[in-house]
Amino acid sequence: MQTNNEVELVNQILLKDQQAYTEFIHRYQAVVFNVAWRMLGIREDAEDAAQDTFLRAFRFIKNFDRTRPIVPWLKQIAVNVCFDRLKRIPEEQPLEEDTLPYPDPAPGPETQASQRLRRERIHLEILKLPPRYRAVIELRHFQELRYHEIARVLNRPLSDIKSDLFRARKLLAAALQELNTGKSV
Amino acid sequence: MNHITEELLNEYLDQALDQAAAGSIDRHLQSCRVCTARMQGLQRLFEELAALPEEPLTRDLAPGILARLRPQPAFSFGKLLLLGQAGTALTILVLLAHNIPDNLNLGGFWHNAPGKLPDIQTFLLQAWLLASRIQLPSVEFPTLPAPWLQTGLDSSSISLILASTAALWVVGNLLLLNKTPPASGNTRHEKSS
Ligand SMILES: [Zn+2]
Repeated sequence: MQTNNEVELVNQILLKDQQAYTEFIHRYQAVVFNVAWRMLGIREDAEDAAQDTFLRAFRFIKNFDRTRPIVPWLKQIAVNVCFDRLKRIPEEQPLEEDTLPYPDPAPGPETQASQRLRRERIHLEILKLPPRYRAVIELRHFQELRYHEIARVLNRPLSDIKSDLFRARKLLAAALQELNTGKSV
Repeated sequence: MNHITEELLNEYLDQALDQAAAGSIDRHLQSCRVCTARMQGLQRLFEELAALPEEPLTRDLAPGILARLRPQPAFSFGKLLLLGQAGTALTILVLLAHNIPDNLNLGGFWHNAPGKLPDIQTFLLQAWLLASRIQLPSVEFPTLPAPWLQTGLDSSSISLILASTAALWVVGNLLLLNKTPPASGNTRHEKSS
């Protein structure tokens, strides 16, 4: 079966076509995994969360508005799956340094390595944020949703979304500033 | 002159302001180096975030998802059936405990109108009567004292209940026997191309 069309693929899934499920997963697993990777930063957790995302998506796919693109819908489910996961971790238990990704600077040409290190550092800073902040950063910066759309996805008041987003940015910008001036690391 | 608030600066960069508000921010930025620097700091952050690379997925998630997605009707159906059987059997036992000794009238199996097959109810009842005469002559049903057990079912109802229970039992056991045993460890699935 070769479906190029999203709607057709969703229709096949609604008909419980096993191959359609497989094709759907193959088509979107990388994008879903990357949402989870950004929010969780641990490969196994991100893979688990991506799997949960697909299971949740399949459960609710009959409610999906087929006039809309499927990728944003999947990515939004992924954010909620990750957010639910993060909420289960006690707040007092911050990520340990050695559970974070990128423990060692990888060898390579100087400029490439430093650029990579810098990006890894940014990701680490995102992972240090509280779950709520991580979710809004993901939805605003990586999924480019507007405030009211983020509020709808997370089912929270618009004012909360805005204050979380601005605070998260302030924290990230401060960390970035430290990185630039070499005070940290 | 007041500087731009944190909220307005963020909303400006997110293009969440109307034209008039955005215009006044524009004018302030043209003349204020402090706010321009603040805005540039945020813009740098936005760029850094946008430059975060994609992480490659190193394994196929489909087999794991499909394994958890696949419903297990044989298992849950079998379990339901087993529960149903146990429940029905218990109910029957309780009902019969009171009713059978009073209502059974052994010996009437072949007393039908001549040249006419018995209808299904009569047949089932008489089959039961015959079976009970052959196989269960010495079974004593205990009489339970509780008044709610005295349901007063007549013998044809009892025979119907018995027959359906027997059928349920046979069908259930057939299904359970036919069920393939679950593979040990993780369920593996062929990767469909
Ligand atoms: Zn200013």
